[in-house]
Amino acid sequence: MSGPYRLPSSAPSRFGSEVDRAEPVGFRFGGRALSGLYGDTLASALAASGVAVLGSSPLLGRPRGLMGLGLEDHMPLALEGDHGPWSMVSGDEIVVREGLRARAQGLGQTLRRLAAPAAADRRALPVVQQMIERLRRALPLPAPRLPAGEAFADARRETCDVLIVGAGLAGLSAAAALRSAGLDVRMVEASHRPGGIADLYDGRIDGRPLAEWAATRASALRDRGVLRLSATAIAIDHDGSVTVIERPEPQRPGRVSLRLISAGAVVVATGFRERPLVFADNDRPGVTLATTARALLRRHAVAPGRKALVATSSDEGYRTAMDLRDAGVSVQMALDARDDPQGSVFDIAKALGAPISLSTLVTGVEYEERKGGLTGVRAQNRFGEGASAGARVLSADVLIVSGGFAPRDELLRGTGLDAEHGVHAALRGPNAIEAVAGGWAAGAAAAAQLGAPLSGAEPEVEVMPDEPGEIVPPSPESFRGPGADGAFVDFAADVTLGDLLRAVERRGPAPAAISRRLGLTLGPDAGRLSADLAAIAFRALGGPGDVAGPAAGRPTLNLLAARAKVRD
Amino acid sequence: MISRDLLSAVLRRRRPRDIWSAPETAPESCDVAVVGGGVRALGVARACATAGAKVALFASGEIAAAGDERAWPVVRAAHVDRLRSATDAAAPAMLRRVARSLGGVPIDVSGCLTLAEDSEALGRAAARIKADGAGAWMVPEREVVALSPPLAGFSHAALYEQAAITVDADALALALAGAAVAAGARLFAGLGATALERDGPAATGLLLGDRAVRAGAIVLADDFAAIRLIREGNGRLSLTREERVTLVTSGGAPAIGPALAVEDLRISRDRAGALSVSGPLGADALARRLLVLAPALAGLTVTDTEPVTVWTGVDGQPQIGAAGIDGVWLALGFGREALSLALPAAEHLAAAMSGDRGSPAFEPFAPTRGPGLRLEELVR
Repeated sequence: MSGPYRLPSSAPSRFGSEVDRAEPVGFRFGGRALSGLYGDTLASALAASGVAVLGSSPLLGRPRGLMGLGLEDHMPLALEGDHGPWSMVSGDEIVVREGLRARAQGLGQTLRRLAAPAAADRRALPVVQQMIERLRRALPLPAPRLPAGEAFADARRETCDVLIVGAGLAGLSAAAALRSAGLDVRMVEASHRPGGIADLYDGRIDGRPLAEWAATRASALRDRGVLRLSATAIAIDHDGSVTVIERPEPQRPGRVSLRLISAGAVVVATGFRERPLVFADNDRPGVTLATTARALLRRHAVAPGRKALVATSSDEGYRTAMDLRDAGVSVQMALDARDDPQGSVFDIAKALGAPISLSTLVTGVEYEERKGGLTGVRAQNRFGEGASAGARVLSADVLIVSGGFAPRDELLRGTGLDAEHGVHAALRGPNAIEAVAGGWAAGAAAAAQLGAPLSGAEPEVEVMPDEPGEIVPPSPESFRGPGADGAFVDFAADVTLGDLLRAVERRGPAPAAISRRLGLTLGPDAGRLSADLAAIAFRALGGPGDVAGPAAGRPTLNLLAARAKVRD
Repeated sequence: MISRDLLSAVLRRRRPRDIWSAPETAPESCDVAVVGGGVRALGVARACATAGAKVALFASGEIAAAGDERAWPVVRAAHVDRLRSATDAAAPAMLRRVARSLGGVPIDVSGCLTLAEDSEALGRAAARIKADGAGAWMVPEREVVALSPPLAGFSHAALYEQAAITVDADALALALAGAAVAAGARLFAGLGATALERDGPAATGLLLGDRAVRAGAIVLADDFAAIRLIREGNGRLSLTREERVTLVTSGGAPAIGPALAVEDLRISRDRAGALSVSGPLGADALARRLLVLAPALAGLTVTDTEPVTVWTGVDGQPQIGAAGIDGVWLALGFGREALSLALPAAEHLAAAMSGDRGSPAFEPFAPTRGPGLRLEELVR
């Protein structure tokens, strides 16, 4: 066994699809020697070893752990010796190999951590930084120490008929449609692993398991040079060309190159992201998204904890709860914010005898700083007051949260183009049925736009349909409660409900000015983990318009300059 | 934990004033109606309200610093342009005074370095500025790099103004809004004026959708809104537009020393170390020009790209004062140096509207003056 949280080999064989239990791998994280299994990612190997705290938050210095994976990871890590703004990647994107050395955030963040919590209206400037700035300006000559100017990034221009962004089920389905029409297709996928989260669901496409269907399609596309992995599309220009940042070397993620891909049509199949829940201390290590917990279980045979509690407002929580039980992790209870959930997933969970509490919200967690872990979860009913609300503390060392799904639509929103201009969205829904159907429809629309008739048939999907998750917005009382300052609406940027409330009171109906002041989405994940939480909370506060939403990725000045050169 | 509780207790005690009015409560009449929501408009609202007028401010969007004000949040006294030099001379001192009295406006006496390929013309301007006693002088090229280390690629003499100020434009807007409300003004965000109400040659009020507000005087302090209102009122405004773009980087950028005006680029650094770089349209080309100038900035992450429209009077000068339409006053076309002029122009307008003559330095900017007359003034 490698690590105390690895499932025993007696666990069902469907857990640990990506790891080889026979082959241990040794690596170092922050100087500490640890071991994982062949096929582990840095994130899963750390979780298996019981490393719950991956670093601390930039402004408030709160300990943070693994919550989301890939694009939604707000605690990115870096390999030793790798530098630059793109060197910080999700631990799930780094495949562990013998002798690998990785580290948490850089010195700049550690320095900022020393600062006391910033006052509401000077959030951008913690005390220590303020002092450094003052010193810098008081010096007669600024210290002539400058970062070495980076060479212009490698940049190239490419053309194709159709570019598909995202190689999840929707993207692969779109690719099937477009290739059946005989078009020159390119695909870019931000992760090193194609297929999205298809392997986290049970079901069949054309008679084969979801993951197998996706893997076969993806490897065929990779062999033909159609699919490029670790390539993130960050912008679609008004002329329809797509800016893609590629990490050509897995050993050095910080080294990136830029591709400007001009396509006749673009299919945006970026998929959906799970939304966290808002409650006091919702950022504590041990609070994990349902899909993240399931990914660790199914791919790497890693248990998120020993005593789990599930809080959900969608079917996703039940799926993870059932997996946890199968894997031998004790599930204390499932807390569902909905009053009357329906559907097959809920029925199966109920039939399996999982203890379920409906109309129940998590109001906070109990966290032991020294141990670095959760000890309990506070919960109460949505309705009723005082004693009838049934406030209680449940014991658990991991809290699985799921607030339903929000589309990863930042690319689309950023461009403002639509199907008429050749940008086709394949964002129909988070379920495999909607993903495949939406992808196929978007592919068909792109093919029709280019005048190529389809010759294939749409893949047939058999999965359990989802009930749409209900969004339960944070209640107005929760803004004023003592927990508001610990309930995060943007984790990576350290923005809480309390901050948002004070900003709205102070700045009035000015979403853009509030976003600027609070630094919304300026964390290392560009606001992606927090999905649309800030927007939902802002609306619940009665604000007009929208605060800043997540960004698909942020270029450096260097990359912009390189793009200017390719454009010439 | 204790410090955090203490902090939140302090924050609770400092409850912000209720400075935002709901659109439904717009008054039927007021003395002065201000159109616009940026620092310029808020400055006018504050100045008029302090002078005792009943002021209502209507902004079609947010009440916060406008894009062009944030693009170059620098206030300086020295100006290559002679007319602006006269009006802006007191701007930094005025800003410091206002910031002190309002509180909560972080200002940095950062200095400002103006660089131009044609350093001889700059030198001539510098001689005049120096003679006027504005505290600016030419520095040789070696000193330029010492003042601003990232500018390794520039090899010309430059104009340095030590006392220029970099200000947090959003905080300034907020503080001005608070002061205006404290003086009795009312602020309405998300309530744009749709038309001027005319009575013969004079304007008597504003239409805001289906609502009408009668006003003794109307101040147009938002270029875009002004153009729409005046055009629809069959008037003419002589403004030219310039499309620019502002790149904002993540915090912690290398120190650039003073704020930099390099030809048509404007570079400033806020207190969190985020750079704002503003230049002609085309974010990519702008980044490229910046890196030729300062290669050390290459690794900075761009967190925001914002297109900004800058309006300038046709003769390159702003239009401040009474318009051709009776009852309408303008504070428009401030150009790239929008923030420097905002407070002096507001004071001048408030004085002029109360029947005073205002500052004589603003006479060349009066909108009723023909361009020919202005040219004459320039020659004289």
